[in-house]
Amino acid sequence: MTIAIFLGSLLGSMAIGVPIAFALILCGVALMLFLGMFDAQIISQNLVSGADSFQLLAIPFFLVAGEFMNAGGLSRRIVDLATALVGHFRGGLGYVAVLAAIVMASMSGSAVADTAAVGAMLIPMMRKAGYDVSRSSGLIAAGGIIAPIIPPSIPFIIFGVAAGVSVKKLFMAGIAPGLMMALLLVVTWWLVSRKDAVPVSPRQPLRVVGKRLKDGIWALMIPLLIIVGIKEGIFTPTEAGVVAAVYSLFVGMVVYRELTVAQLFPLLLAAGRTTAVVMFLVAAAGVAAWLITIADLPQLVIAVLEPLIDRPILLMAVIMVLVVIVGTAMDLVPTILILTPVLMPVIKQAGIDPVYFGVLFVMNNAIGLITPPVGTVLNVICGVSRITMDEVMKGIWPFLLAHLLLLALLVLFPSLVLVPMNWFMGN
Amino acid sequence: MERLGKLALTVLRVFMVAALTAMIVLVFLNVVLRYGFNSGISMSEELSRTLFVWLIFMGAVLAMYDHGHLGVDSLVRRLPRASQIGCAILCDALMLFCSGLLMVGSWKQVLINWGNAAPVTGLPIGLTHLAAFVCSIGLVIVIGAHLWRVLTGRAGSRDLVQVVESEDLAPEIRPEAAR
Amino acid sequence: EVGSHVLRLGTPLPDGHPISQAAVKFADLVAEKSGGKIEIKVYPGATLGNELQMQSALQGGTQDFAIGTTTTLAGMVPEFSAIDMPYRFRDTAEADAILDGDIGNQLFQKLEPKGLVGLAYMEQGFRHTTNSTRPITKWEDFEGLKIRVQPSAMYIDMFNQLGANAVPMTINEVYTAMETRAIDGHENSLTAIDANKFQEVQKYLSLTGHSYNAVVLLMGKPSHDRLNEEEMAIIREAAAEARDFQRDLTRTQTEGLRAKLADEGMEVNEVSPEEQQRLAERLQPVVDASRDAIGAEWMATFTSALEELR
Ligand code: NA
Ligand code: NA
Repeated sequence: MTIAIFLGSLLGSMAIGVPIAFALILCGVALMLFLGMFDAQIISQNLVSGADSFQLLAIPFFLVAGEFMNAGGLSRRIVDLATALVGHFRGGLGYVAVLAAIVMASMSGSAVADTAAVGAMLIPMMRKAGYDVSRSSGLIAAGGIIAPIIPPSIPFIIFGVAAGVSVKKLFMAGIAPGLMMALLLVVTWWLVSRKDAVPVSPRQPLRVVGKRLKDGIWALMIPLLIIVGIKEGIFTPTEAGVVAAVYSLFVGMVVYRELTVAQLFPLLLAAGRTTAVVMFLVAAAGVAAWLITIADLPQLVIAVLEPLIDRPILLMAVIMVLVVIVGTAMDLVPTILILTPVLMPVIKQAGIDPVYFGVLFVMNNAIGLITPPVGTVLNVICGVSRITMDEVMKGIWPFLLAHLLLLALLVLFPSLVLVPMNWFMGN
Repeated sequence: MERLGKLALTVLRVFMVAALTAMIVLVFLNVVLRYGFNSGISMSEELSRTLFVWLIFMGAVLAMYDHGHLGVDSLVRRLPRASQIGCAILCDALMLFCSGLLMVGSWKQVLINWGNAAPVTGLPIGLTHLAAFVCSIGLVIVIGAHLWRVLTGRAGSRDLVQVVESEDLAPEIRPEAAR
Repeated sequence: EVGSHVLRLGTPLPDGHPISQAAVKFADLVAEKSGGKIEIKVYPGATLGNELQMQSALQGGTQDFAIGTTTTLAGMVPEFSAIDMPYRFRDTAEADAILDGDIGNQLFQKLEPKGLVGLAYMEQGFRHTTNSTRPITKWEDFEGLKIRVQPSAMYIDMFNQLGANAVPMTINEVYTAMETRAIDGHENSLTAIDANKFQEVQKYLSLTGHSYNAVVLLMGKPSHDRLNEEEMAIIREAAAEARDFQRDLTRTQTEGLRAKLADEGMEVNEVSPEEQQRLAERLQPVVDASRDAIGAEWMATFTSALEELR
């Protein structure tokens, strides 16, 4: 009954177009009424305490950094450098797209922003060079979703706070799986594009490569700053966010001179607005999570999954299939917020490493960004490439399959995540 | 009336940028002081958190105004106009109900926590809850105005669906704008 | 006439910490004494919110019980900070006598107008210092260390006064901050150090014993008013028994913890009585400043009660 009320109120109000944040509050209200403990203060209190967190301050900081990087010409220089390095191979612009995706992923925490930035620069180039636009768009979309896996990552921050898991560990654990995603994309691109008759562009003279490297080195410092800074304990993730924001402001304004004072207000406003939308959702999820705890909902879920509790791999497989299904229709952040409080007690009970679970859970939700019918990254790439959803789907499926294959491998062999994580954590 | 609304929006936007800037400065200075001078601003965390909460709640009103909250619009967009109007009215009613609850609850919390000092800054903790209260007033006005437009038949087709599917879809990269 | 009630109790510390164990004990005692009619559900590990959040939930009537430190309560009733001023109590017996006596009662009375009912004083215990740089044997050793303190103006002043760089931080971020060396150390009770597994990321444990921390089993006034006298009598009786249970448990555990933490790799050092005296002298300005903040009269009452005891 509790599960029915939880799902009914949440999905019912979402279906008629209520924003998810309000749907979460309504779900909380429904649970309060069911439990016979109606009190308006429960809503306001949990809404405020869901928002009031120093760790979550990393979100606006990384969003600001992302705005400054795109407006300050940092992203463009990454793509330029990647083109100079691998553009001359057969199918070269595809490798450029993956390389740019990796570097962009290690600078920003948002899949949509990265896809839009890389797509806007590379799709016109690929179209002109005679690449299949559907397939190219598919590759760039599939590369864009590496952003939340390689640190920094806004979904990892949200999951970490919701699940009580160290954000630093999640960041360190995401590096290897993110690179594996990129590697599989490269292999897949090679398989599907090797027979294409696309002219090979000439190798760039060393002088040009050197110049682009010199130019791009300022931007390349950001991943170093973030990953080494957090790994070596120079900053907490929140501080790394603020340092990245200030650094990209400096590079954009002083070094590249592309960012102007007049742009700052709209850029900060955009970052502030996105922060508010994401965080209002996080806060509203705080209301639902509190009532989920009070209503003993996780215990009900544990009871349902009881037969799987001592078979962690099977349990993971079942949960991952469930998340893939949810991900076809739901966006990443809301899914994380809704499912984390329900699933975490199950994961703990089954003795599954919460960091390992977090990486696979977030990766799975990121894949949901490119599964139809609802996939935000798909929408973005359609907009950027000016093609229809059907055309993108025609080009994306090999890459989508590659990601799902990797996910399955990580379920079967947890050490693929855990061994590199321990190495990055230094033990 | 319209001018008052525009002024309020401008005030909200300026406030958000100012709050975000202050948060960046506070946290960044704290890092610099810790490494450069082995000291720190002990109130940096509390102050930036308070600003953060205000940024979120004021931004929530702004996002309500320009239909920027996250949601699932795929079902509603497929409905005929009459049903869309019905859904919009129901949505607004439910959201007004939530905002009303928020108003009542947060006001009680403001009163309870006004005499409660934050550990480091000594600022009243009720100040944080005040953000939720001000937010609820803003939401009631924005949602009420929307409901009024729908009821009087002045809401266009874009005005009927109030959600987007991703938080990152700034107007310039929203697919419908790009097509 | 005892009616049927389901009430909620939240603690800020994880399952298995003496404070959370005492919460379960309290719930069991209430169930036993009420013949199963009053059920108290325990939510450990801040699942209902952090201390401040639970405190205002009690005041608003959306939660019934919580266990919180007097340091947090001082945000509302500043007089509570008299308890954890540096080097106030010599031993736990002194603390028990003061808190269970007239002073403790007077403090509880000051909570009532704020919408809170104090049921019993339990303990966190004496607070010590850990860090990953060097053993602390005298106050000069604090020089330049980044020390996480409870988010409280008095604790910030104390550690800055010792030459450290006091960093206020919420407890759930401390482990990562230690791991990343964003902070060098922190100050806490032995049971809290162990419960948070700080021995995994800290090398030195110096028994500075710089202050004593009490925690209070609190009830919200709205919840209190919903119960009749007979029911409240059960609650109070159970609270007193749970308090004794908690103190015994904390003290037994604390004794064993020195060895356990050392076994698990910490280098533990004593701070001699002479050096503790020097620490106390060094911290006198903080005591003076706090006295001004909470009122000289209350400080005098507190001090004379303590002197009477000695
Ligand atoms: Na990233
Ligand atoms: Na999807």
